[in-house]
Amino acid sequence: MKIRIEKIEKEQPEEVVLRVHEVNADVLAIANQFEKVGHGLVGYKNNMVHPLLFSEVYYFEVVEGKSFLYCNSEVYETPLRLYEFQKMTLGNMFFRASKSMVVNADKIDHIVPSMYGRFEAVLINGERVVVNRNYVDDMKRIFGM
Amino acid sequence: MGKEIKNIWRRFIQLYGYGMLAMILLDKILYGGNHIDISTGAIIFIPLAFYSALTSLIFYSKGDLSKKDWWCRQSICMVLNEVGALLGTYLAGLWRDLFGGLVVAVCVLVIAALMHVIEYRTDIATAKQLNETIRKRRMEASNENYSN
Repeated sequence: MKIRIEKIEKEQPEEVVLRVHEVNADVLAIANQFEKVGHGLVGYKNNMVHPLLFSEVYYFEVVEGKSFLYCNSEVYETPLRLYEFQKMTLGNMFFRASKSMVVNADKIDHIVPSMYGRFEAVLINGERVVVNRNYVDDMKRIFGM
Repeated sequence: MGKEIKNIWRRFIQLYGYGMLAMILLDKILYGGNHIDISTGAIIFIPLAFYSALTSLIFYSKGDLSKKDWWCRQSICMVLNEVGALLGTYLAGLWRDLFGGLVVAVCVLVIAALMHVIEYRTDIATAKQLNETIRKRRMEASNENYSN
């Protein structure tokens, strides 16, 4: 397979074109990887870089000054700050759930009220995350309520 | 901080309302409606309710509160509210003997419990609405996948 990289002007949009004889699983996997890189979301684990889709992220959390992306069963560290991740996910189904967390509303299975002035969002993988009462309006807005 | 200020105003209005209601009811029930000067009480309750609302800023932190922190905060708030309410109502002449002080102390506890119960009931209704919306979205998404 020949690989060619062409440098273009900044005004032109970047794109990847795969010219193949047959669209098979390998080709689709390569295309999927490029799509992930294009979104600019990257997680780090065991000194390896993992490109991620926003749809794979269940929630973003800051713990002791470090930021983490939580997926279905994997956790990746990210250099993004909370406000940067919020900015990147504007218009998506992400909302600020507490002072240190941004949650993907598409991954919520159901909501449970708690007596400690907060709610618990039970995610589709069974994890429970806290949604502070102060941010419930953001969650309602995301769901179009 | 903006959300906290909104919360303080909301609590102030609730506390003032419940406080006034408690004062009028207790005056009627315990003293036949002739013991407490309602107009003086109405003025006294303004700073008292404001002071009580401000106690919600105790333990204000950049991070989220753990359950242990929450209980700690609630206990400190309760003590501050009791001290403030007892002092304020005593100085306003709303009570003079031990019985009067006990009535005020119990009132503060009842109002605090009532506010928590009302908030929790509101949260249950909110969770119900949200879960209904989530369920509808999931159904719509699965219908779309089926038609595709």
